[in-house]
Amino acid sequence: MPETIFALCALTSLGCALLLLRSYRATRARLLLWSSICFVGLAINNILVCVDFIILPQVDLSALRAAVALIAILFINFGLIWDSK
Amino acid sequence: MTDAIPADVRRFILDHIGSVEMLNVLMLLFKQPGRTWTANEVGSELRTNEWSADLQLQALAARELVRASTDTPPRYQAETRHAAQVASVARTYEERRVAMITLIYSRPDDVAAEPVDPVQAFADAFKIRKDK
Repeated sequence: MPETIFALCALTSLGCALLLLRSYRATRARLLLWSSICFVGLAINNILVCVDFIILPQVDLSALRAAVALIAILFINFGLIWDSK
Repeated sequence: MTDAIPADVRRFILDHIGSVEMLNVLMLLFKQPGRTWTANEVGSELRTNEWSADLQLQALAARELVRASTDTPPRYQAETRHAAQVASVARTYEERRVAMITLIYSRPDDVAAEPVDPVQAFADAFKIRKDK
């Protein structure tokens, strides 16, 4: 069951990334590009959660997961700051 | 209904105007072509907010319909070489307001002329189906 939840989280993040990228291509609003990159990062983070807890439970990936999530959030923060005055 | 709009006005709207707010900003600046405006003044005059007015002004400046000063904040003024064309648009807007608004919002699905509000674009990105 947990693996299903993690996989759905990853898929949802990836879906968001794709929707934002599609919209970025139509509007060229930079915020959408940064947001899309952020959601790709969150998808990777969720995949890493799967790997950490299910595939490689003996390896601690928490630092790597946190780093990926941090970088992802930095992207959307950058977009929000960059695109607002 | 949009057929009642003269061809040159129609072309102008499709080429340059992405929203009714943008058209209103353009009309305002060309009503007093000698005056320079800040986004704040335009926002107050049109009862919108400064940020939105600034987006419209920047978009109009990018299309060289208005010119921006290098002041901070920039002041915008009508580009008088377009005065005749805009006067024609203004006349049509007075006479056929509904047709003009219909034309603006029934434009082909290209957003090139629309100044993009990034937050709105973010929200719209999650609409799977486009609005009709």
